[in-house]
Amino acid sequence: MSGVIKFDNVSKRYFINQGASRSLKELVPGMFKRPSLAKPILPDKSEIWALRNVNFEIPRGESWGIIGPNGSGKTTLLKLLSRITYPTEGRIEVGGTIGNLIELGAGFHPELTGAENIYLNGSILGLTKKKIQEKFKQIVAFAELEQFINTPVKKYSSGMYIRLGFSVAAHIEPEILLIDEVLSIGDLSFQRKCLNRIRELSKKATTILFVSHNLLSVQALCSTTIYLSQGKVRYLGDTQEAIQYYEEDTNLKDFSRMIEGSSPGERGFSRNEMETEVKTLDIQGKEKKIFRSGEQLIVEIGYHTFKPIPDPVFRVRVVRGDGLTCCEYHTRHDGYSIPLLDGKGIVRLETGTLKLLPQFYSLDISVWDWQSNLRYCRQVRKIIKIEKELLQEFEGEGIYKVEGSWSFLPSP
Amino acid sequence: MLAQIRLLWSYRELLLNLVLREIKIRYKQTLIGIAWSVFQPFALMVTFTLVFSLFARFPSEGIPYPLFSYCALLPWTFFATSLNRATQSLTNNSTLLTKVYFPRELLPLTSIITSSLDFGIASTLFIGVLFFYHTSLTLNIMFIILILVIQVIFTSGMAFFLSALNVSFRDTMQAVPLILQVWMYASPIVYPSSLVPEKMRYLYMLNPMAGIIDSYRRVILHGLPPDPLYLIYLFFIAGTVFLLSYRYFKRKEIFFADII
Repeated sequence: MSGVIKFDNVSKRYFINQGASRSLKELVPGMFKRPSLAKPILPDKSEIWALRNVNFEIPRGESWGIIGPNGSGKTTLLKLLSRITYPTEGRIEVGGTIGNLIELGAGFHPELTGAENIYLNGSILGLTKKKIQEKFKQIVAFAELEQFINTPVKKYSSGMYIRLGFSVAAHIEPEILLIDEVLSIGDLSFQRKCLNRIRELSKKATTILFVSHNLLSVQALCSTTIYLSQGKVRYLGDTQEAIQYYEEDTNLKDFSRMIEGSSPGERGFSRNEMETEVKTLDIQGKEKKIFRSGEQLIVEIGYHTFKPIPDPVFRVRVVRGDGLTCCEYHTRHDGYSIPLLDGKGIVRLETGTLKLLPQFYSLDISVWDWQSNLRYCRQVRKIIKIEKELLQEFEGEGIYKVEGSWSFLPSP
Repeated sequence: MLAQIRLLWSYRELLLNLVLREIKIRYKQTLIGIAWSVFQPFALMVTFTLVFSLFARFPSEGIPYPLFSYCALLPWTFFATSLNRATQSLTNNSTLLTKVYFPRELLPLTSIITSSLDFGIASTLFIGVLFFYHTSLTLNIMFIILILVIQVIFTSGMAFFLSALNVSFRDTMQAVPLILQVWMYASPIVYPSSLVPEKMRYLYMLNPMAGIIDSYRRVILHGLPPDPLYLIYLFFIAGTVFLLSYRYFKRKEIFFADII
């Protein structure tokens, strides 16, 4: 079967200063100046490759996801596909009409009423007037805006605005649908509605390309996923795998930054009498950072003291992203004592099964004197991720989960 | 070219909707609404009549001055408003350009079509002025259509060029009103072209708007057919401007979303 979308070695280059401060005022004097190395004639044209040598082919009717960190080229890819912008190198083949959800309500005008904007936006997206008339009621109903459809859009709340935008776009029924970060908007019930609508379209053999930071919805919608990083395809294939790669590469870095800011940092003074280095391992002794919920965790603290330390206390805290300490391991509290640290060695902690909910956690490791008054070295922070089980759809709330069983006893 | 036309034709509904949007927005929260499009050339006509006819006593080829000036002001206002609007048509719609695909030509064309509607409305008043002065029309008035076609081709050409240029250089939208002001006085609007010294006339008439305005006057007010040699020249200039500008537009088009 021939591909409905084909990217053949596509690259896209942007100039960072393109469009900014390029006016005749700056260009004309520059043309008469002698070129010098220090001051280029044109404003600095440092280039950036938003996409580099991208190749893929999407068969008709498939739903593909695109994931990657900010600035990895996801939106550029969709823009190339929808002919908003053009590739610097390479060829793009598209066989079919394109529906574009890059920005909802892009064509809306604030002074026009909801109804007027439906017609305008519909025709921008390629719907004929007849088609819009047919679907008008459906569109309004889907957006839940029956009461406000003759109100100028400028009086809408942002939620209403977005709902109307999605509703129009979701009714175009194109052969190819491009979706960019759509599901992150609106309230939960509307998000679910959007997701269902996209699923419906996907069943009608619409080819879908779905960009999102919400990995759960990518997983729910797409069988194949492209993982982009810095404009290059890092992985192309099974969604599950792509997500795994992505999280391993990027999220740990990103989230460590996030946790850095929000968890209670180290308080008070710490003496610089030793150094520690921390590794996290699974029960088989393999070093890793992503654990399943309910897995045992091994923390190895390598130490190096500058002078002998009597009666040290090792403390390992598991802290959630929002700064809540979920559990604490503490050599003295746990009834374990180390008489003397001198030179180099390893202190090893093996936890029980950690039934923490899927999240990012930081392990804060510190070494104290017996009374916990003095810290011998700076606190070391290590980020781990607890992942949900494969195909586990609902995460629920709370901190931890141990299995329970339900029963049903209606009174006779 | 044929494929281009077919593509544009398939987007006719969007063009219509863009035009409707322009008009609706323009007259939202106004009191007299569409009457403004009559008001503008009419006010100019009254002013010009006062200043150039009553005070300065400009010649007007034996035609009542209000009629003489209004006949030129109508097509000129059409030309000037088209260009003023078209120049900013791409930059004003940058959100559309960077978010959705549609043939980019539609935006400058929208400006021209909305301006042509103003032109149409203001023209109805002109018919009243014609009756008021008991102007006798001849069959030569049919030439209006030909002149109008030439004017629209010329205007669209300029519009494509200026709108694309404004994407790269915003100086364009500052310069265009100024140029149009100078251009107006370089065209026979408040005075007849016969006022220009004979020796300079050929040079003067190289300005296509001079020929277009003059032809309108000949056809409507004097009941004469337009100068055929001149008509050919105009057609050639308008066509060349159109083709070159459109090519420039199409070449720049692929960068619009990147640099806007």
